[in-house]
Amino acid sequence: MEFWLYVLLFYLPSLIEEAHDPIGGVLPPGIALEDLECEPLSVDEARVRAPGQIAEPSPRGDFIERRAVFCRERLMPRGARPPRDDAILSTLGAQATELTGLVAALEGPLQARTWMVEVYHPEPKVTAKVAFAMKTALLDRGLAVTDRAPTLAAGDVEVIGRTEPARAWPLACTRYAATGSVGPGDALMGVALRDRRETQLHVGVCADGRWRWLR
Amino acid sequence: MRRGRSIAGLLALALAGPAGARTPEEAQQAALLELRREVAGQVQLSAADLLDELVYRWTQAPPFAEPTPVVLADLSVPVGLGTGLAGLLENHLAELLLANPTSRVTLSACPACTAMVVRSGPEGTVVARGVDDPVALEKLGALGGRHALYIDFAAEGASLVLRARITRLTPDLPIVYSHTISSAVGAPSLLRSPSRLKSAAEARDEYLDALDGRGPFTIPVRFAVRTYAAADEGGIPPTPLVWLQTGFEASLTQARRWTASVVLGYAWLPEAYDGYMVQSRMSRLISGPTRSLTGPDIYLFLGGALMTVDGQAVALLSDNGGQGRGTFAGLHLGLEMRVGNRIGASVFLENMPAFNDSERIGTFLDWGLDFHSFGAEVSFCF
Repeated sequence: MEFWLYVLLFYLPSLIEEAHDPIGGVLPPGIALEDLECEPLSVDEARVRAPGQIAEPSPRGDFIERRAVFCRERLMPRGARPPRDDAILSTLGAQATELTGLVAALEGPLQARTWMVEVYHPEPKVTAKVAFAMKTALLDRGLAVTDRAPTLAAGDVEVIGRTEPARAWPLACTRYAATGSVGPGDALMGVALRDRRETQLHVGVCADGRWRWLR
Repeated sequence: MRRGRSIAGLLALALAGPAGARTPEEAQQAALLELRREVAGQVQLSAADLLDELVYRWTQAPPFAEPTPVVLADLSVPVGLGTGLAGLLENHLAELLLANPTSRVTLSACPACTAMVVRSGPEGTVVARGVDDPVALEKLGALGGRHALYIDFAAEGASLVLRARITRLTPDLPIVYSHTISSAVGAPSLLRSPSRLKSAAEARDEYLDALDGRGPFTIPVRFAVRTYAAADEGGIPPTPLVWLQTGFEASLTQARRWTASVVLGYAWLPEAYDGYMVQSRMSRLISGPTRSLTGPDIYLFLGGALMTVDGQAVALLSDNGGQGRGTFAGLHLGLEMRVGNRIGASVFLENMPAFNDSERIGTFLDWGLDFHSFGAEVSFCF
């Protein structure tokens, strides 16, 4: 009997740690698992990022093999926003970096132009968020950006609004150039959802009346 | 930040309400609103922290060479959270900019800038917000060389992201400044004061210091002086006793609202007296619900001490009316001001039951309980 008590005492710290493991522990934190973002860290890095959570090693040795999983709760729990919007907004920074990277990689005189940003998403609030992130990311890449928005005449809007997105953007680009809304010194970065069911943003560029999809 | 209830739980709770009171869709909507309200409450400190950091960076590297009027064109919060949060953050930003003129960003009122304006010309009719149509603003005489500030908060996974941009209100609307700051929402607030902003690194150091100083035990070292009242007017009081005390102090909660201490003391003056004491004390924080990280704390304390002294200078305290060692107890009541849980100063009154109705020692105060001694202490805590 004593032997098993010793075994239990020996493994008790590890068992307690295991029980509180957010992934697979029997006593996980009271947060839905899908609302956690977890990443494994070295113990030293974990001490820096979460001070006070992991005991400092004893000068005589720790005698416990520790591992650290750093978990943070999602700001907006899953279900608090429509799934499609949530998928886009949760990775907005990464997507902005990626899409503006495609624009910044364009060679030629486009780099010297003043960039406008236009975004299409069915939800206006998401549209504003995406446009803000894209403008900031373009500026971070050293491009000149304006808050000016390209404009169309009411008749153009009537026609283009009824056209499928794949054809609407090239058509709009032609009209922007014709009306001088996107002038010779300007370029337009267009970001759109091409299908209401998808969560991946597409990007194209309008310059000199010509439209081309980059993704 | 912890949300014990998942959205599924909230929905279940909402659906479990009285039958017929509301439709499932209404209950779901109500649960969603409640959840969003909860998130908004939790995110507020992090958002204010990001604004603090933005204005701090402006004070270190101003976006303009001269103080420049700026219109707050838009401040948007994460999709799904209410406009009440936006209002709170707008007020916080205004407070920060007023308190930090070295940022060179001066908030300017411009009702026409945020209102919808309509302008007709040969090219057509344009309906837009004032900040989006500087030509219309110029015609309204509302421009005045202003800039527009846009701030957006976005919830990206576990992070709250602040994006800021400043646009010059000229017809070509160039963006002249942009900045992005991200913060983990679960990270503790940096507790910065609007009028005394500091870098995130400095604030983190202070936070770590506060964590280090928040252990349950401290070791106080006290220098105490106890003075005694003369028995009658014009009489000679006993010589004040100077004590050096040390021991340990325990806080019963992390807020340090209640603390308890036990100390040992030694008193010695050459050719005058020597003495020993043991003292215990309970203290209650009365200046607030928790110990302040930035200001002094006031504690009310009640304690008892057992002292034994010997020497010619304290003959009035001896057991045999002037001869030999005196051993007596004391009950004290006082106030202590402590700064940063490191340095403290206190005053107290002490009743010594052995000297009630004594002809050798008088009283400073008589509130039904005779206070024979008045003391003061300076403490250093380690």
